[in-house]
Amino acid sequence: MSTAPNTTKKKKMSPYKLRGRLADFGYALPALLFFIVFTYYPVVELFRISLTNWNLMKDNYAYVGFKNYIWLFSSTGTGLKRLTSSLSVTFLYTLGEVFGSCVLGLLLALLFNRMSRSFKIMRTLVILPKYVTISASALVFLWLYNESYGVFNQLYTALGVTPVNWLGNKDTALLSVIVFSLWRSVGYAMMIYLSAIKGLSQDYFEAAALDGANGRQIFRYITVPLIAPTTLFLGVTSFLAAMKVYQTIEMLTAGGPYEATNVIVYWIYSLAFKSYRLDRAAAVGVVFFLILLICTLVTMKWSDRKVNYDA
Amino acid sequence: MSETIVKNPGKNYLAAARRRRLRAALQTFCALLLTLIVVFPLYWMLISSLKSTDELLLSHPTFFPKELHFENYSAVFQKFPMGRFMLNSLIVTTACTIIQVITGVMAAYAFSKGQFAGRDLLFTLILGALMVPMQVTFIPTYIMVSRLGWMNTYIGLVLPEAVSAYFIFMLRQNFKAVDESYLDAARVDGMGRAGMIRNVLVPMCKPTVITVTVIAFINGWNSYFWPKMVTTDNAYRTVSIALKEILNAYAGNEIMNFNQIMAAALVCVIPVVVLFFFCQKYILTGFSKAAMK
Amino acid sequence: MKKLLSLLLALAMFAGLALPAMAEEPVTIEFWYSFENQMVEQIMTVIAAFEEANPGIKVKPTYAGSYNESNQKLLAAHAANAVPAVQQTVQTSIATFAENGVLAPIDQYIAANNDDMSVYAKGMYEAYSYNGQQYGVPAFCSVCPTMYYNKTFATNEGIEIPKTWEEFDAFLRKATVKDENGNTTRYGCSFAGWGSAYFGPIFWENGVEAFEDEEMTKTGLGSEKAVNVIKMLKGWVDEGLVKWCYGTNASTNMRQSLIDGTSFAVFHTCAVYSVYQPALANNGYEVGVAFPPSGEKTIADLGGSGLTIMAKATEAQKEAAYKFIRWLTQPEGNLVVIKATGYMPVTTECLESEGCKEWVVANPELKNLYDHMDDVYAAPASPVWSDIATKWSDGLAQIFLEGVDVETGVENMIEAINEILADM
Repeated sequence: MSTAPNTTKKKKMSPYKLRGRLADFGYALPALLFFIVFTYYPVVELFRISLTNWNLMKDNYAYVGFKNYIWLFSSTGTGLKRLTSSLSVTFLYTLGEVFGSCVLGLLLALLFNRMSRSFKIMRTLVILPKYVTISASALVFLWLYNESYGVFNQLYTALGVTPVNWLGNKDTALLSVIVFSLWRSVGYAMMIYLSAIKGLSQDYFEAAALDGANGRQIFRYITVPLIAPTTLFLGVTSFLAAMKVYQTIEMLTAGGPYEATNVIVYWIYSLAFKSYRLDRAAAVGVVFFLILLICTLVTMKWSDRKVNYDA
Repeated sequence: MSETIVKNPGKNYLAAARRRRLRAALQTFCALLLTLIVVFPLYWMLISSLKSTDELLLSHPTFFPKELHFENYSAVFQKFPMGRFMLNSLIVTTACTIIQVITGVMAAYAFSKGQFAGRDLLFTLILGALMVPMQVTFIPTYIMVSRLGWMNTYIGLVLPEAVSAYFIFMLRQNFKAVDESYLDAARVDGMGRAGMIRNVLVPMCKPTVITVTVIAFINGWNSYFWPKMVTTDNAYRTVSIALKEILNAYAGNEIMNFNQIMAAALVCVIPVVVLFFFCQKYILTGFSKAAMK
Repeated sequence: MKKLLSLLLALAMFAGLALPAMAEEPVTIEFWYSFENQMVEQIMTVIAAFEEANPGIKVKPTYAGSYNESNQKLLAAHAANAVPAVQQTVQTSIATFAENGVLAPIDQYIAANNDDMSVYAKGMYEAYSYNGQQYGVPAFCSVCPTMYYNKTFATNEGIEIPKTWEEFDAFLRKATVKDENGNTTRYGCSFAGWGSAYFGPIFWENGVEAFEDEEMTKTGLGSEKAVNVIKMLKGWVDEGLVKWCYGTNASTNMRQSLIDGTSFAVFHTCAVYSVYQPALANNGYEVGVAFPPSGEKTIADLGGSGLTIMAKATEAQKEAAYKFIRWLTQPEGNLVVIKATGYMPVTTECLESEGCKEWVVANPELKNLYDHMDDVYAAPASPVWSDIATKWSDGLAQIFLEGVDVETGVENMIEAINEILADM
């Protein structure tokens, strides 16, 4: 038994202590077992499937080595093209979502920072979209974005502007999806920033005011740097969440038009359940997993080193 | 906006005060405008559900229905087993939340106050799981579940989402912060582990526990990805995926029936919104903890 | 762990099968269907009649959702070795399912029962075969496209429905209405650009072949004839005579346009006759139905679904299932389907039955379709056809709606299609 990280000095453990350790371990066991079965085993299995030629309908499959990865990465054939296209769509979406929610969240935090009752009510209403089921809110937006009967286009027509086929035009589809996502997430970002700003020590502001700084300077040189950890936190969490997007796409555009919104999870799902190519879906899944892993590790290392204020 | 310090009191004071009032009024106006914009889609959901089909399709939109057509709601309830969908959501979400809470509290205790070999190493397994979303593991999990015959069953819906690494992570932070002296006192009183957890750790971290539980419930209710994989039968569909199926059911005829679709959407949204308003306090305080990570 | 589970499952299956056989209980066959509402009650009556005539067989019908849902469920059931005996399978899945061993060929049962399958319309029957073997019978068959038009406008304005593609241009000019600014207020015709079943026949009728070779490895969708058709269509779209519908809301928008009179005609599936007829009547319009215009050929695509038997069902179940699917596609069952929707008769027996003749008298428009029962054929039975069809509709939409010029558009489209073919 390796040394346990505690203060006991005895070399041999009494049966009492041993039972204690086992009991403690027992409390962790259900969670650990769960993750082994439903997280780690699937990852290994995913990799294994990517090495086969499994079609969802057949019972048998053969191992074909790295054939699926060759399909995915070689410049001849469709794999690489679709991979790069899907990844770029995903990254574009993620960037829009992260950037939008951080910037808009901060702006909203500044706008809504009064403590009056009416402001409290307004803030609650602004966060509400995040807790409305995506299915339901996507349905409303489908209706709002409808090119013939949706309110947005009806307003456009009334104002004399040519209506836009929001979800059906490949140039506007991704943007429309991002707008929907931001509608859901800015309230949450706003609250996070508000809490962070409220938590800042007043000393900084008083000192700055005494030095003659005006509002804008205080904001730029004091507030923003001080809430950098919050921005990092928000950026990282919304980045990881945005990379995994699926439901929003499925409800609003089904990956179209012309795969303009074919984010990577949607592509994996189509490969597995529409083209029945489990093997290829698995290969893309493995690549996706590695990307997520690298991104998470990089941001963890970066955030460790970066900001460490004693605020 | 930071406060402006008035540097020249006196005759400039009134001017500055007026400017402040103006700014405040402007701020309130902008805030109100933005709130209305954000709430607009939800308002639209409500009024669309009450419009008649003819009014729905007018080229000049009306912002309040001419007559209230409650029959859209009865139509949807007749066409689809809405009650069943809600029941399924309730069963699945409650079961998931309960299991998440129990396993989460247990594991949080074990990894914060528990002592056993390899504790911190094993905790990285939990952290690692945070990085692996369902979107990566779903293919093998789906194969596992369908081979076991758990498609369209409650166990298939609940089990793969029954433990939350996030829950464990958040609680562990809080449990760690609890001073050892309380636990020592409890031990002296003769409490076992369960007792310590129930009577010391959880009560001391009550706000976080409640917040995370409420959020787990809401997220469970809204869960879509896994339930969609595992159910193909209306008898087991949860509210979240049922809405998509309702949209599909109207395939080709959506436009004429969007009032009914909106009615269904509203019905599904209300429970969580109600829960949200009741538990606002906990959810919002959760933000300050998150921000201070 | 997995091996143990499958062993247990196998044992359970054996036990489950052995016991009924020993007790000589009736064979139960599960039937997964996707049709809805109007038809359900009546089809249940037909099923009940089947059970009466076949006391050793019990049918357990289950609503399995839409075609997509039903297929998903079927695949999961196939993986778990717990399949129904019969499924209402959408025609476009036949090739893939047959290729992957999900369906059971029925040739042996046809021979065992000495059945004469020539009663089925040739094109429809062929649609449910693959690689020389028969995998099911047609049941819910539709003509794609069917030309629906506003008969009220036609009579009032003296517009004649074109019988050939040469006449189509003149027809469009008469049927389109524009306002003083030159904007189209009523399109002569709207094409369903999202489904190759709906616009494909425009090409087939003008002599284009989906594949230039028997092995289906070279596509003919970029041939000279195809390009001519594309140019013809693009000309009409650019002039505002024709609307090319594509995108998420295309289906519902296009339907609505015929219903409220902003389209004179649409190319859609005959299966929605029962939707258009009352909806147009509601607005005071009469609906007309026509077979699409001919060119070099008179042909339309076959849509809809048939009845198939699962490979993993037991022998006894398969035999019973065969009898069942034959029963359902006899005139009695067929008529229920025809009257409730707009689907076609699938056998000459049905076409010549009294019930059908009465139905045609009551709905004379449908005669235009029934006369062409033998001119409907399924899309090519290639396992990658649906992928190709997607690229085809994407490519055409780019040319018609996104302003891509014909040469570049066709080039890109053919490149994408060839990639899919090479990928096979």
